[in-house]
Amino acid sequence: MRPDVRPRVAVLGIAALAGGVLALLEVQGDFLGASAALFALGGVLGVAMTYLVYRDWSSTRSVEFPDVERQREFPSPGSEFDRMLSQFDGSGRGHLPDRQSIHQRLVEVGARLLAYTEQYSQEEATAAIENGEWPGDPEVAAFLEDPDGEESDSLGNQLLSKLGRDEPTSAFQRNVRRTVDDFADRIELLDFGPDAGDSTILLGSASATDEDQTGRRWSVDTESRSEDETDSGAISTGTWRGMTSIALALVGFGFLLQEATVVLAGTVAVGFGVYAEASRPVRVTPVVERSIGADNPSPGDEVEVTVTVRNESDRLVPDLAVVDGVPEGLPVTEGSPRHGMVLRPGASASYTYTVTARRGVHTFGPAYTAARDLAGTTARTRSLSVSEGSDTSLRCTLSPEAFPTTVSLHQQTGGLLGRMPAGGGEGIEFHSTREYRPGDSMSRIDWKHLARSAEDELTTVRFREERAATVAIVIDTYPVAYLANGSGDANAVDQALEAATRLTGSLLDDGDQVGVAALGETPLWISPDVGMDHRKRLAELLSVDDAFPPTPPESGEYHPRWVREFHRRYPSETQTILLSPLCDERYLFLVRRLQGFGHPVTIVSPDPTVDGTVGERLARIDRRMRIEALRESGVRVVDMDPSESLATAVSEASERWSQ
Amino acid sequence: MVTVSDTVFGRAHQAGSVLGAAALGAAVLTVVLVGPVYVVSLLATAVGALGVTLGLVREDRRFAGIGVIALLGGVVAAGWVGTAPERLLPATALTLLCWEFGSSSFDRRTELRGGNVSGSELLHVGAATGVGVLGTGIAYGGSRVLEVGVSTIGVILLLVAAVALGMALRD
Repeated sequence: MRPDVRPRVAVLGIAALAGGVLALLEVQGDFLGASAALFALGGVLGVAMTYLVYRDWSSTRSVEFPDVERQREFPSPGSEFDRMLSQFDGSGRGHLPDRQSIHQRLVEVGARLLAYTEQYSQEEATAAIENGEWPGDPEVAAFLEDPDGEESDSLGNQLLSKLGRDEPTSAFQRNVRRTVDDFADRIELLDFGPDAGDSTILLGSASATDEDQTGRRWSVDTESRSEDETDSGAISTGTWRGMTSIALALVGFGFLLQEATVVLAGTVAVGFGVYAEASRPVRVTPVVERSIGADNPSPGDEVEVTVTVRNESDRLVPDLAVVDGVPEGLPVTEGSPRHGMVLRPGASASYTYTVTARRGVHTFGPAYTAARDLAGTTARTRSLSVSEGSDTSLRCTLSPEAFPTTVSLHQQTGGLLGRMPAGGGEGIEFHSTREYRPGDSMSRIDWKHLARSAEDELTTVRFREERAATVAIVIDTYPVAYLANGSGDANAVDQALEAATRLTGSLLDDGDQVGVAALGETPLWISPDVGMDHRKRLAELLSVDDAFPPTPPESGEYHPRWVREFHRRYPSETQTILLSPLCDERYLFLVRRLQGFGHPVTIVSPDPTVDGTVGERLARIDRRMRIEALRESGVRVVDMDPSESLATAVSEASERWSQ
Repeated sequence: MVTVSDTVFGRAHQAGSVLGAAALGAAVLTVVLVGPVYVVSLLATAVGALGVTLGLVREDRRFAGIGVIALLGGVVAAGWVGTAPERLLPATALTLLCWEFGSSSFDRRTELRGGNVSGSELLHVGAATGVGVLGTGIAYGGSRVLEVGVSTIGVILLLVAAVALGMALRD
């Protein structure tokens, strides 16, 4: 018997014994006038036990399984700004430096916008804003000039806030929203021109954005997904716990009402209590097998997982709950990894659920089981490794045969760079003619020249020969790059890796030498090479290498010597294709340094921003301005909308480059 | 999709659904048994059954708990007006089963949320109902055996005392 129930049962026994003795003596006459006291005591007991019955009911008795279906949620750009802004709801509890930081960020974004639209320098634009000369909206201008100035919090606004019809609850929040709305309207009206050549424009100060902190927000509850086998032994579930209280309540009320039938009803509850006590814990260890329905699925494929549980003992398992250890990176899209069953001796049961494959190697955890006895009084919880021969991981790789997408490389950046024109030879663009030599192809003879020639002079046409480019695809894997737009699309790093696979295929098809580098916590330097084996190797690395973890790495520390190391490892003529969501400022330093070492940069940027909250809209504006500033400074940027294909994004960007 | 081979009960269903249905059934039967004998019992058990129903449908444990307490109150009220053991004892057993099935239904839903169950809930309901029938039978038999002249209440209490103290003092 559980220790917490034992005192209640003892009280029941003593009370019943006293009551029984008194009741038997009562038939002989009034014994010491104790009847009234007994009846009153019964009433008190009944009420007290009724409360305990309700309390027992309210307490859960379920076995706690790990939350295997929980998926890591990648933040959207701007969510940290929203969190900061939410502090200033008028309650006066906001952290003042955050308020200053919000205002400073708005001034910076505004200055960048003003510098772009009015051709100001960044300093001139900042000064104009700080003097209250911009923008045209006087309230926004006043707020940007002085956030602590007179706040216009009209009665109407206050009333709307109280009625819940206006989201911001303070004048500061309203001013921030109004400012961001103003910026957004201006961005919409802008007609961004084609990419500039070598013109320069200040890219803005390299202030850290709110996404710098996102890495800290992902706390992974790894303890709840233990890899080790564990056995809790038999634990009490508390089922039927309330029977003693109900029995006491009925006995008490029976006395109060002086009704023997009510007291008798209490014995029914005692019967259930005896049933609970008589149950014995299940000592059977089930065997769990797991089968994964696909060997090497592509990202997005639906994969069936079948779990089979066998009872190899000679005893019945009356109630077995099983929860499969689904890896964190695999969302369950159909069915459930949880199942309850009865298993007779030698019997087995199977159930199936479906996960959506995501890039990487996903290792399943142990299966969690809880075996209850027939009454449900005790449960034995375990985490069990699947039996030998079962599947324990799902490997999902990007296909090296993925539809290639061509991005045009820089043509003229340095002496040996790009797929640049070289001497006359094989090619398609006319270069020159020379005297015919035996062995020249008939197709290269200049027949028009022959027709015009009085001396039947044979000449051979020479075409411009293209030299293969050397390209390094660089993928940003800092924690700040793990952003998503919240609509279920893959995060920006996964999108970048898929794009990288397509670009790799295209470049290798064209005969270019392609290497891969990771810009993040775990270094990866793959030298440029050609060939099918290299292509397969790159696809494999982009899918499962530790440098590209499916979840953000712990450290977001930037390695300042990364560019120098890149330059040391890669040929000097290497040009880079950087894949990054461009939601923070670190890339500025990187791009400038790469260009400084003579490596031209093309950026392919998956867009994780959304047009939602104030912070999200501001992050979108900020990113847009960065991209335009990059383009103005001669950096090619492919802005990848997740709703469009990479080919569409490249095509749109190419149109700008060709203007 | 679930395939179950060679088990006691093979049909799969949503976790907690059989237990929830059994709890509702027990609550309704309680109303049927003690409702007609006394208006207070009718009101209390009807409110109780409604509370259990709403609690299970809305997945509100507190609501269902209040419903079970109301059912118990209805049973006690029926006993107060001298309802015969033929009605009162089964009603008590059904209230207790409603208490247990309802609570277990919530627990299973929490434990296996979104998952299915094949057989185990039916087995639990069947076994507990069997125990309820047996306990009610024994209690009813005891009430018939006891003769007038000896304090019925005293004998019952001594029986309860013997069982309870035996359980409490056992190692």
